[in-house]
Amino acid sequence: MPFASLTRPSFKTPWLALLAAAMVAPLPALADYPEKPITLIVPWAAGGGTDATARTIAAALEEELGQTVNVVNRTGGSGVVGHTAMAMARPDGYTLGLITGEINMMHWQGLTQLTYADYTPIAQINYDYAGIQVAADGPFDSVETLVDKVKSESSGTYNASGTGQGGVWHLAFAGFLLDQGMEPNRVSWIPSQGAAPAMTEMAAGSIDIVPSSVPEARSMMDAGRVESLAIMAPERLETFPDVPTLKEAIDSDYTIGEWRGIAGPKDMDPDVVETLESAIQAAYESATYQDFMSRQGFGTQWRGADDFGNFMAEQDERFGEIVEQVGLSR
Amino acid sequence: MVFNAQTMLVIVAAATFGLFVGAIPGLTATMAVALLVPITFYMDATPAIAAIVATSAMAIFAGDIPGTYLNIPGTPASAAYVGESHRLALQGRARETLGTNLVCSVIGGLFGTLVLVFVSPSLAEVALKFSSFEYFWLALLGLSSSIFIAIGSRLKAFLSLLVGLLLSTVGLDMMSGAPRFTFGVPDLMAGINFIPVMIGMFALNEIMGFYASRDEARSVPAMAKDSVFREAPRHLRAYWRNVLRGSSLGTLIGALPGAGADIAAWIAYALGKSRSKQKDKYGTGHIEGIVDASSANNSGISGAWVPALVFGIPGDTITAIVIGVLYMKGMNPGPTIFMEGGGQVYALFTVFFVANLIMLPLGYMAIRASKVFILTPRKILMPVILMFCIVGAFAINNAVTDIWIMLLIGMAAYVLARNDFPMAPAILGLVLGGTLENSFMSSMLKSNGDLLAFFERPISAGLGALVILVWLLPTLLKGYRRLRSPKTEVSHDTP
Amino acid sequence: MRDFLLGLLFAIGGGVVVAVASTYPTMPTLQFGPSLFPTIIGVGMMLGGALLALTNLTAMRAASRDTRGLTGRYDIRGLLVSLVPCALIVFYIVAAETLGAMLCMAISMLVLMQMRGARLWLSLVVAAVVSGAIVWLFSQYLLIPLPEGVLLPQLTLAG
Repeated sequence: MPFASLTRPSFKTPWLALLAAAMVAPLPALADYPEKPITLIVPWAAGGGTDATARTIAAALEEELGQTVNVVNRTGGSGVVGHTAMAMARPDGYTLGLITGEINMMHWQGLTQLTYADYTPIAQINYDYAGIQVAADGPFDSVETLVDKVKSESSGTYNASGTGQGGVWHLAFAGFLLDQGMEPNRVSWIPSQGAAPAMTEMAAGSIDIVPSSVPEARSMMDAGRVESLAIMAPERLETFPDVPTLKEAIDSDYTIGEWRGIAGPKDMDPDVVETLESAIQAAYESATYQDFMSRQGFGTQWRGADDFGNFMAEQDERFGEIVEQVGLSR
Repeated sequence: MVFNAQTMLVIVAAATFGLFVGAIPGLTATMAVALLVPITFYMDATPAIAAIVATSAMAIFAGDIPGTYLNIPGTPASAAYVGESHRLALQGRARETLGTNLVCSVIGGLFGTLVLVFVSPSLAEVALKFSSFEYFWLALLGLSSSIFIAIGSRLKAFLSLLVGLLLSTVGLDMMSGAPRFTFGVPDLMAGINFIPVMIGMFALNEIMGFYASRDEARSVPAMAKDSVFREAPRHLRAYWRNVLRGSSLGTLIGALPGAGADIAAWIAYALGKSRSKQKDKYGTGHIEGIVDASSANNSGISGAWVPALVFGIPGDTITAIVIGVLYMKGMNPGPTIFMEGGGQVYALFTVFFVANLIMLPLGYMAIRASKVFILTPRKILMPVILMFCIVGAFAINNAVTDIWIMLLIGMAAYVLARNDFPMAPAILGLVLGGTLENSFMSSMLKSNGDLLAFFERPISAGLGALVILVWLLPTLLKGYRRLRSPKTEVSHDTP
Repeated sequence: MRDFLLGLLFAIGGGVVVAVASTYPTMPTLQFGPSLFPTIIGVGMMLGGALLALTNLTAMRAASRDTRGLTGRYDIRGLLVSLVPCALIVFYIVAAETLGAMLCMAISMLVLMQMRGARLWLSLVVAAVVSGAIVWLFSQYLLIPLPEGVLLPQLTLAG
């Protein structure tokens, strides 16, 4: 290493460096982590909520680590592609990923072999609870009437949308129907590319329910087109104090949601994980991140490496059950 | 608020950045805007929005520069008329074409801004009436137009379109979650992105053609002395209707959350051709087609802001990012933004005007600078372009799979193009295939398989009737012509 | 002749698409599902391809002059040369992980420029400058991590 640190500053262009390096043996690159830019893989498209969260935490993390953090979108396949890329990367700490709740859903549906066990958990940075959004001029004015109507009308009378087939809001809502003692396909699920297009369809009058997170409905709620009937959370959200919890609305303890965290490929060096965990914690607590999340209305939740690992294992079992009951398991 | 040194500096810097990103095949306006987001954290609201508007507007125009000189479109929106503008360039009219294109882009952008300022709320209401039923017809209309405007054999255009549609089915099916044509490759589950396909079909195809032939000559004339703006006023006077039509169509389609500048450009081009007095000149290097489509794609960019500001619903991928920035800056989108936001919203509108106007001088400089494409010998230029093909295909997803896709599609396109198959319909098929299929499937799920549902909603029924009319139009016109002059029958399927 | 072959190719390809699509599952509530669109596309390719082949065949019969066949019009050397850029793309894909993007690009450009007889010093300068500039721009400004190669990982991003 002393050789590299001696020679590196003297090269003005990579090409001179290349010529010089061609004459000496390659050196193992391991010194004080991190000594080069870090790549953060995001399994969802630029412009979405996950992407925005990733870019914000990356900006805050850059300040903590003093190294560039590149956000790279590997989108598509309901998250399969990005999660695969994260798991396949070299576990050297220079490729991390923003792992999302889908990791606990995809493998149950036979979309991938990957499970949470294929990653090194580092930290959870966000949790968004599912809400129940309906059109303001639609047939439902409370969770109670919604449950009653869905129960009394014939199966398939109402439909819901917000993610692809077997995505988080689909499972969250199916789980809710199960919790209310109904079969999960009593409301037909219309797959969509995300919550935003589903909101538009709801405003256009062709979708009845969008069980996405409440912040995703925010602008339409502000515009008076959409109402959030309840949130599937233990307590009300600070940003949406008027939306009751399910417990308050119909006395159900059912809570569910989507989480986001940072993880690396399996078998990362524990020292690197420790460095990252404390840097991410500082980034998480930074004003940049907290401001951004509260302005967007996204929920924040911190779990360190060990807690995050346990949490993923626990959620995996739970979603496995829902996938099984909805009849999507393969 | 707008006319201070900082904001103006930001606009110029952002526009230059957009110019650079847009001119490189593979780098998109969306990517450029996503890269800007962390930087906007450190800016006030007005310069932050200014940066985004300037970058995206400039990037969309800049995509036409390599399209004109090298027949390599920068965006799917410019794929509609790339053949036209490249043929003009081969006639030594590259600068004149780009200059007219630039002026039309600016007018389109300004038109879209005026709509945004004055009729946003009511236009957003209309846009919000579109559901999957309407999008199905719209996608079908776009696809039909690609056959309608095809030069040469319609059968070949149709087959090319099918190739694009087939490529669009690759990946996880959104409706059922079942993987299709993925051959066990995880990257293919995401489907095939149009960027590597476009690079393969246009750029690699062009490069292979260059190495197959021995001569250097097939390039844009080096002695071109045409002026950037001199001819523009004449063209505008001749085609002011096209500018107006393209701009209004672009704004309207751009304002729809499920359709963007690309469909707008195609439909505008097709509409322009069908209404033109010189239909037969289309495809031989005719400036009229460029006027329609280039007004449409830039006004589409402004139009996309309509639902974004009024309902917080993104009109395209760029405004999806913008909405996040708006929240960040405390300008929550919603109908009230026009009342409560007051000063800030008007600053935002001013920014739109400034950012669109600044395209004129910067675009002019870019057109002058793009002389480098002519002056550099092709034996030097082509290898450099090949490198940009590789890194451009890689950049869209940071995936080697995309380089493979670019390579395979490029080789196939080379064979097809040498046999007079048009490439543009394939690009449109790939871009619109997903919308077509998903909107059809979700409509069917909603109506429990009742096909008549496509005619039950008023807008949907109207669009459906339009599509059927477009399909019947060639037959009707043929019959009409035959009635008038029985000898001048035009055959389309000349193999 | 070539249109006839291409038409045939489309028709066969369409058949394969239809066959593959028939293995896809159907939606629980509808009679069709993910197989519908690929089937329609496949059938379209079969019909369109057959039509192309047939019209071409009749045209050929009518003219009965096309005896040159496929190879007659093709310049074999040209075909081989046109494949060189493709081969270089494969070279990049295979070698970039070890050699690094910069070196691979420089080599590829050098080969192509020499092939068309550019001056050696000019080729060397352009290859070096352009590959250096691309790597620098992409990694520093566009934040796209091009492969660094294992030979000198710490040097390419030294700036």
